Amino acid sequence: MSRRPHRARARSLCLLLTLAFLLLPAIRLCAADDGGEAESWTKLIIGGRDAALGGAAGALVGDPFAVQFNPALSLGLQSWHASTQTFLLPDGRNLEYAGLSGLAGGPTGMGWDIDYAQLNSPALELRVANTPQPAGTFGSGASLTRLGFAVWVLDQSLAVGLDLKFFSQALQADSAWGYSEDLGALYRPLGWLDLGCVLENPFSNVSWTTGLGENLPLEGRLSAVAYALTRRLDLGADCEFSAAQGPQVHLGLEGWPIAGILALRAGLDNGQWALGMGAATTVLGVRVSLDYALASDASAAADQFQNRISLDVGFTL
Amino acid sequence: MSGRPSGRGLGLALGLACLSLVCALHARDWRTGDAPDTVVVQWRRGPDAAALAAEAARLGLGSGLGEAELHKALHKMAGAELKRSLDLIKVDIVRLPGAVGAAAVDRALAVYRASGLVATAGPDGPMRMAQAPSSYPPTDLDLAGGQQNLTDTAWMGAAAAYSAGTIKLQGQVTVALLDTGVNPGPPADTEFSQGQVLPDGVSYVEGVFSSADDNGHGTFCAGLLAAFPQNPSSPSGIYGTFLDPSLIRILPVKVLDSCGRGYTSNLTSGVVYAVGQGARVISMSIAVDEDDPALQSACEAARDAEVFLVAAAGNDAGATSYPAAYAQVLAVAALDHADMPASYSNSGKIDISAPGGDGLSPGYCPCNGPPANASAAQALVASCPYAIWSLATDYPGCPSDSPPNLACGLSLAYGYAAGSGTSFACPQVAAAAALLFSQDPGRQVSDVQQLLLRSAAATALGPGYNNRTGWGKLNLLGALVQTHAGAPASPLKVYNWPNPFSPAKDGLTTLTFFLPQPAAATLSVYDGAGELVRHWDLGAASTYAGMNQLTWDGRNGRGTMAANGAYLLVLQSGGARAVNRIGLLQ
Repeated sequence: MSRRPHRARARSLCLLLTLAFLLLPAIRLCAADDGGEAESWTKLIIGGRDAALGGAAGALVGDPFAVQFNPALSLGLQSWHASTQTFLLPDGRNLEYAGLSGLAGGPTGMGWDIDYAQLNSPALELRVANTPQPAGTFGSGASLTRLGFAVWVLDQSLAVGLDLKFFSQALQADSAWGYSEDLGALYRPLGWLDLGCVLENPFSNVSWTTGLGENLPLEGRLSAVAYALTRRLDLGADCEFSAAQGPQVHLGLEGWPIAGILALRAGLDNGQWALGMGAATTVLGVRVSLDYALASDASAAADQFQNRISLDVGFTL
Repeated sequence: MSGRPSGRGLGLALGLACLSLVCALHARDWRTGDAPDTVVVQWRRGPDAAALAAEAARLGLGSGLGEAELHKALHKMAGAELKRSLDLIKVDIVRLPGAVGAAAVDRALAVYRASGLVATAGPDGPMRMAQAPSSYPPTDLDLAGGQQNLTDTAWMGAAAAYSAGTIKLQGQVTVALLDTGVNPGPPADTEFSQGQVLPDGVSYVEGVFSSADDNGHGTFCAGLLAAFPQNPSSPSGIYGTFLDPSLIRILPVKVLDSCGRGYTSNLTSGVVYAVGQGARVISMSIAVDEDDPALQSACEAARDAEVFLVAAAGNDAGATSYPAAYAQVLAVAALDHADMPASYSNSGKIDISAPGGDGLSPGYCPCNGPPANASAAQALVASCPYAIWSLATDYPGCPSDSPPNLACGLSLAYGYAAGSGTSFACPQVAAAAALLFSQDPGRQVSDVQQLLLRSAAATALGPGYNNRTGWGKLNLLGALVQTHAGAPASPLKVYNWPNPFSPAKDGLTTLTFFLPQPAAATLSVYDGAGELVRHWDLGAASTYAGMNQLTWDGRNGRGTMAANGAYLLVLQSGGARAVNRIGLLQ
C-alpha cells in the first residue's frame, strides 16, 4: 500500500484538530468587560471583504487588506495592489485607509506592503465641573503607518513576515507616538487549506507628552481558511489570544455565486454579526474589486451599524 | 465769584492729597495686588535620582544631594527665606526679605522657574471675603421675621422631620471655616455651645496669632453654619434648627485680616491645615480672581482625602471666582428673596444656590451707623426684609474704610447683623453637607454632593441646571430624606466630569446621567475598537428621576487601568439610548 493515503489522512486529522481548537473558544461569544488596551482602535477591521468575514482573515490568501492580520499574506498576492476604504462607525467616527502592496521579484520573491490608516473622531466635551453644558470641546485623533515584508522559507508552502507599526495619537493638547510589530507565518499544507499564525506586539511602546509610557499587550492569532467547490466556497476561522483579554473568535463564510465576479459573505466577529458582498471585474488587465460590509456594533444601538466600502485595484507593472 | 479756591476747598484738597499719600504708603498691593515679598513654589513630585543629579550639577553642587538640600539651595540662590512648607502638596511659601518691588520678585521667580525641580512658581495673589459691597448695621432686636435664610419651607420641614424622629443624626462633624476667624463670644452670652468652636484654630494672617475674629465676617458665617439659638427669635444656623449643637464642631482658620483681605497662600495653607486636622467639610466664603496652581493642588489633595469643599461663587456679577471655580469645590451662588439669582452673584461654574440676601441698591438699607432708637431700628429691619441675619460680635474692625465691614465700624458686645452675599449662601450649603455626613458618617464626598445636587429645588429660573443657580436651590429636607422634589423630568442624557480625566490626578471621573423616571438602566464604557471596558447594570430601585451619578476609576472589569484615549460612554434605559465620549489622559 502507498503511504500517501496515510499522509493525507494524517493531514486531514490535523486539520480537524486545528479547526476544533479554533472553534473551541467560540462558546465565549458574549463581550467581556476587559477592553481598554493601548491603541485599541487599530483592532477595527479594515477592508469590506475582511469585515464581512468577521475578521476571520488571518490566513486569507490573495486579499491585500488581509495583511493587516498577518504580514506573511503579502506573498499570496498575484499582482500589485492599490487599496483604499471608507469606514463609517455609528458614533460619528470614520476610518480612512490607503495601502500599496505586492510581490517584488516574481512569485518566489519578497512580498511587501505599506499602508496608512487614520481615525477621525468628533470632538469631545470638555468639562471641569458637573454641569450639563460643557465648558468647551477638545479633539482626538489617531493614525497608523505600517510597513510589512514577507519571504518564502519553504518552497511556496511556508512563508514568514514581519511588519512594523508606527502609531500617533492626539487627545486635547497632548499627543503620543509609538511602535509595535507583528511576526506572522503562513502555511499552505493542502491545496484547499491555508493556516496562519501571528505573534503581535512582542516589543511595543507608546510615549505620551504627559510622560506616560504604555505598552500594547502581547497577543497571538491562529487562523485557518478552508476552500471547497473549486474555491467557490471558503470558510475562515481565527482565534485571538491576548495577555490582556479573553480569547476572541472570528468566523467567516464566503460564497461566489458567479465565480470571480460576485461574492456573498457572512461572518461573526467576537459575537457581532457581519454581512457583505463583493463585485470584481477585469478591465484592460486591471482587476478592480469593490466590497461592502455591514456589521453590528456592540457599542451602538440595535438599528445602528458599521458600514465599510473598500476598493482594490490589482495591476501588473 | 472769584476763581481762586476758597480756604475750605484748599484744605479739603490738601486733606485728600494727604489721605492719598497715607493710603499709598500703607498699600500692601503692588502690580495688581500681589503680596510684595511672598512667592509660592510648588515642587515636582517624585523626581528621580537623575533629575536630582542634573539639578545639583546645574547649581554647581556636589552629587548625592537630596531633594531637601536642593530646595534649600534654590531658596538661598533666590534670596528667599522659607516661611512655610506644605508637605501634603509639596509647596513652599517663601519670603524675600527686604525685597520690595517687581524686579526682586521677578529675579527670584526666574531662579525657581529655571529649576527642573519646580512645577510652578508665582507671586502670592490677593483674595477677599465674598461679602456683597454693602451690609446692614447690627441690632439686637427680634429678627424672627427677617431671616430669609431660615424661613424656607424645606428648612423648616427638615427641622420638623428631625423633631419627629424621621431624620436621625449620629456623628460629630468638623467643619473648617476659612475666613476672618471666629469669635465665640463671651461664654455667658454665647450662641455657640461650650466647645463647639474648637480651640485649635489657627491664623495664617501676617502678625496675627489668634484665630479670633477681628472683622465680623467669619463669625457671621459661623453663626449661619452652627449657631445655637438662645431664644426663638434669635437667628440660628441650620444646625441650630436641629437643637443639637453637639454634632458640629467649627474649626476656625483665619486666612483673612481685619479688613477681610488676604493672600492666596493663606488660603492654601488653611486648606492643608484643615485636612490635617481631620475636617470633613471646608467652607470658604472667599473670592480669588486669579487661578492659583498651589491653591488648586490643595483643593485636589483635600478632595482626595475625602474632605467636602464648599466655596462662595463671588459677588462681582461676573465669572465664578476661585476657589469655587475649581472642579473639586462645590460652587454656591446666592438667591434673592424671589429665588432669582441675586444681582451680585457670579455665574459660570455654579453647582448649587442658597439664599444670600437681595442685592443692595444705593440708598437701600444704608450702612450709616446704628439706629438712633428702637423704633428706628424696627423701621430699619422692616425695610430690609430680604437679608441674611447672623451673629455679630466684638471686633476691632478694619483700619481703613474699604471694604466696609459688617457693622460699619460699630462696636457691639454681642448681637445680630444682616448682610448679603454669596459669602452667606456658602456656609448654609456647608452646614447641609455636615448634616449629611452626620446622618451617615460612612458617606463619601461624592455621595453627599450627589444628595445635595439631586435634591436641589427648582429656582425661579426653572427646573434643571443653569449656570446662574446651578442645579437649583439647596433643599435640606430633600437631601436628608433623600427625596427629589426638585428633580425635573429629564430626557436621557449622560456625560462625565472632569473630562478629560486622569486616574492618577483626579482619581475618579463622575458619570452623571439623567433619567425621565426611576428605571432600570445600564451604563457601559467602550474602547476605540468597540470592546467593552466597564459595565454597570442598575435596577429601577437604585435610580432616580433626574440626575444620577456613578464614579469610574479608569479600570476595566479585570481591574486593569485603561490606556489613554477616547472612550464611548453609553447609557441605555427603557429602549432609549444616550451617548457621550470620555477622554482618559494621564
